[in-house]
Amino acid sequence: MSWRGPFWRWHHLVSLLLLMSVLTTVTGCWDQVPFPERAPALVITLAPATPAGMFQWTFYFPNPTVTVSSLSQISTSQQTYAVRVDSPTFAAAYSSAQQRLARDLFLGQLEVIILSTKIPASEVATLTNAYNTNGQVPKTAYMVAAQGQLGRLVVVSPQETIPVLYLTRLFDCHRCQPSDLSQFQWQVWDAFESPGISPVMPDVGGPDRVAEIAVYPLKGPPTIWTTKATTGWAYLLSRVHKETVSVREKSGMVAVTRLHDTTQLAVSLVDGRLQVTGAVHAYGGLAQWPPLTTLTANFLHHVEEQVSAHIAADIGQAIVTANQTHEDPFGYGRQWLLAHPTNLALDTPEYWTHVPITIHLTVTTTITVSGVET
Amino acid sequence: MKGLVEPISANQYMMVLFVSLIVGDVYIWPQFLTEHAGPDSLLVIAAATVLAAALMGVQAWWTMHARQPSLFAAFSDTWGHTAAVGLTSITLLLGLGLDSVLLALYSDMLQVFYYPETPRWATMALMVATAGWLAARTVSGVARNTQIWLPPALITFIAVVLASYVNVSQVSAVIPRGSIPPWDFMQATGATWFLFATAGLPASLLPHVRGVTTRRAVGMTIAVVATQGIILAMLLSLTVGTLGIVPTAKIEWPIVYVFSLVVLPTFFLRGVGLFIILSWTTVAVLFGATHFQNVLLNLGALSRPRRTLWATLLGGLLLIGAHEIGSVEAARELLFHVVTPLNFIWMLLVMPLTAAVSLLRRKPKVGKVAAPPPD
Repeated sequence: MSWRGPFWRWHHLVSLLLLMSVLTTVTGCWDQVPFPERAPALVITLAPATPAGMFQWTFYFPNPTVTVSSLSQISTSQQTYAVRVDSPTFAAAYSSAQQRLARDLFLGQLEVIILSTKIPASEVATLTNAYNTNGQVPKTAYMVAAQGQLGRLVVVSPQETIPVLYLTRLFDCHRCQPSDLSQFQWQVWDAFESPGISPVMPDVGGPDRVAEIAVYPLKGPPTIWTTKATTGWAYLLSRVHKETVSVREKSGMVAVTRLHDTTQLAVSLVDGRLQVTGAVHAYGGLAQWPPLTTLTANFLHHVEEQVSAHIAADIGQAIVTANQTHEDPFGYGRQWLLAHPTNLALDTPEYWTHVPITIHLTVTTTITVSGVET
Repeated sequence: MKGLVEPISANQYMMVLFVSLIVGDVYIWPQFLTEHAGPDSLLVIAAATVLAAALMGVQAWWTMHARQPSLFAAFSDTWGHTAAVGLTSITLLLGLGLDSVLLALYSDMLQVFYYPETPRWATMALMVATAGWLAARTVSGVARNTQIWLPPALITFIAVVLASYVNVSQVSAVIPRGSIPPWDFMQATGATWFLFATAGLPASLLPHVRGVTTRRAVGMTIAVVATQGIILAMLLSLTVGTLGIVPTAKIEWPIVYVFSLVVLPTFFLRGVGLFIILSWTTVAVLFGATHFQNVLLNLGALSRPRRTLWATLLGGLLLIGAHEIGSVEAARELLFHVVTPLNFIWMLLVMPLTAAVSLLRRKPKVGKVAAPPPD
């Protein structure tokens, strides 16, 4: 372009104005609400209410009066404030809660959704779906199930400062816990939508006790699995990161830590039974053994066998529980369905709840000695 | 076309062509595809890529063979002036129809995920205005802008895609089982065509590429289509591997949804998927600019004010089209059942036939040495 004539021409001015207006409008300031004018919910708890079909929704917000310096002086009950509404749907709960709030109710910072175990699976499926269809709410909020008073779980532990909740920090660290039981909202939604898998959520027994899972059958309330069955489930899905097993040897107690595992499993459908075959291989480190024992290959081999038997027992417990409750939190039905897409007749959730699972596994363990002693 | 048009480099050609294809990648195609092709979606993507590479390769070959400055001129060379007017208008109009559907869908996506309170026409108008402003520049102007903006956008995109692979847990959902009936297979392949539709952009652009041989032109065009195919395969395996087949078919924007699931707790931003929207809107604007310019190049040598006028007119048409479509359901219906199949059938009929006729009617030009035979 040549620069003949005056430096500023009218079309330069027009393009400049156009550019300025584009730059200012493209930021989407229509949707911006300053953060002090927002009420960011951190937790939603959901419990059944009367009459049937109603739910009690409680939205928990960080208390804006709490500053970092005053955190150590206030009780846990003051760190959050709650808004409680009764409503049959997610959308209506949002509006009712908004009516109680002076600020804009904002769910973009939601971290945890706590569901009462009294809510049956079909209702949970509907509510999860309603939550999932909203494009603005985070699908990466954690979902947990709990019994009793749900509000007692919304604590900011002394280890954290608001707005970080104990449960969020716990689940965010995927490899810190012996087994990772965390479930994002999208994973729960995904399980509800897929045939051949039962949705799972960690069951929170107390403010700082998460060691069991709640598994949702096709109908009715969830079943809480025992810690042993939960560990077995975690082994089968390779969710174990640093489990510890203690076994008794002739000379005394032996402990194996940092156990994690890999699985190679094949699923087939034989005579209306899901048959799972394959191998689970665990790796761990020897952490404790009787003082007068010399570590020999033979000794280690014996410990490995005992640990394998322990893991196999956990897995067996998980399979037994699954068959008793007609649940499949492992997703073996789904795995089989994906491999056999033409069997559309089996593509119904109802079919998979009555298919028993049999499992033929080889469990092996490799134990290493990595401490300063031998 | 001389004077106004400064030639572009071979790399710039590839980038512009790529940007004219890529914007559809974040769209709703995995939903439609998994709904219709189930576990065999990867096969459909492979077939569509091969078909697109063949058709676009033929187009590139024909452009180099005809040695004309635009799609319209090349059509005139092969079919005569009157037929060329019809052929070019239909090609460009079909392309514009597709663009307005894509624009409507993109603004809907922005509203669903990011700007709930912003009216859809506002985002659309802004994007079209920026695209038109760019398109009124020279070919090299658009090419240089693409050269600046595409690499950072693509790098962000690939980074988020790779970060999203953490969530893949259903690998068996991605493996093709070969169980899809042939008719469904063909339908699904046709419905993915909007990911490869350029409305004759290679024919309009190749004459402006510096020192390019026929072999190079065909090679570059096919390479761009293949890259698009690879990215589509990556996105499909990511989406279906994360969500599984049945849930993928239930989500309207599966890819954007999957991007929103990336969590990096150690990072100061929880949702890194947000970066996608920054980079992708840039790509969408460039996409619009290349498509506008495709039309402008076929209108002959125009002065700058006239190009601005035409770009404004085209942008207005596009906006009216996108606005008239209304709901996202209507847009989806149009995309998969009307606009894409029409574009697909049109290209499938016209391109091979044109290339064949051009090959048969080839005669040495008066006053020139006969052109060397095509490679």
